Amino acid sequence: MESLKIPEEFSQFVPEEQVIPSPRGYTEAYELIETFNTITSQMFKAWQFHFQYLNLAYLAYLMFIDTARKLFPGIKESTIGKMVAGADVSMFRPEEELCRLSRLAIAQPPVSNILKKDIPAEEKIKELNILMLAWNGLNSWRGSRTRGSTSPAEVDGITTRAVGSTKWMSLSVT
Amino acid sequence: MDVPFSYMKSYVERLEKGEKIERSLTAISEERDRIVKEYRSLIKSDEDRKSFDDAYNVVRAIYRYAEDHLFWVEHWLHTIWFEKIRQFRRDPYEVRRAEEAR
Repeated sequence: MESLKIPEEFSQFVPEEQVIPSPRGYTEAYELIETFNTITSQMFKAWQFHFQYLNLAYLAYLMFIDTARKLFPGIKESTIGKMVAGADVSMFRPEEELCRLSRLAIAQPPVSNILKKDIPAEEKIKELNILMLAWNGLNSWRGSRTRGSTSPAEVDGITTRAVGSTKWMSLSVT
Repeated sequence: MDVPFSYMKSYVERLEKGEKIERSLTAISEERDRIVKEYRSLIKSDEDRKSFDDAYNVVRAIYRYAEDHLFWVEHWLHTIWFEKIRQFRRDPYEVRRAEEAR
C-alpha cells in the first residue's frame, strides 16, 4: 500500500512516447482509477487478516471461558481475564515508548516543562524544535572550542528567550 | 499528535509526583501464574486437568492476536490508508487551472 503512487498532477497532453510509434492504449487517468481500486482491495484483504486474527482469538478465549466455568462454577469474569493477562504484545509498544520518552523528558527539565504546557501538540513540537536547535547550536560552538557537550538545562534560558522572540519562525513539524 | 502529547503530559506530571507509570509485565505474569496454579490445584480428575491445560495453552498461544490485530490493522494499516487516500483528494489539474486563470 505504501508503494502505491498517486499522481500529483496530470499532464495536459499525453506524452508523445505513449502514442508514437504505437499508442499505449490508456492514459494516466486510468492508472489513477487502477490505483484507487488496488488500495480499496488491499483494505478488504487487510480486514480479512483482521477478522482471522480476531475470530481465532475470540474462539480460543470463549472455549477457555467455557472450560473454566464448567470446572469452577461461580468463577468471576475478571479472574478468568487475569488468567490470560500478561502477553507481551505490539499493541502496548506505543504506550511503552511514551513512558520511555516521558522518563527521558523528566531528566531534562526544559523538555518536560514544554511537555507539561497546556498548548496544542503542534506548538509543543515547535518549541521542542527550537530547544533542539539551540542545544545543537551551542554544542557545535562549544565543540569547536572545548569538545564538551551541553545539556538542554544549560540552554533553557536561551530557549525561553528564543521562543519568546522567534514567533515568526516557521519550523518543520515532521 | 495531540493524543500522544496529552499522554506524555500526564506521564511527566505523574513521574514528578513519584508515581510509577509503566505497567509491570512481570507482576501481571506472576499474578496470572499464581491464579492459574491455585485454580488448577482444585481440579480433581486427570481428564478435567487435561481439558483445562489444553484450553489454557491454546488461549495463551493465541491471545496476543486479541490485542495485536488492533495495532497492525486498525492502527498501523489505517494510518497508511488515510495518508494515501487523502492524496486522491488532490485536484490533478490544480496547477494547470491556476496557470490558465492567470
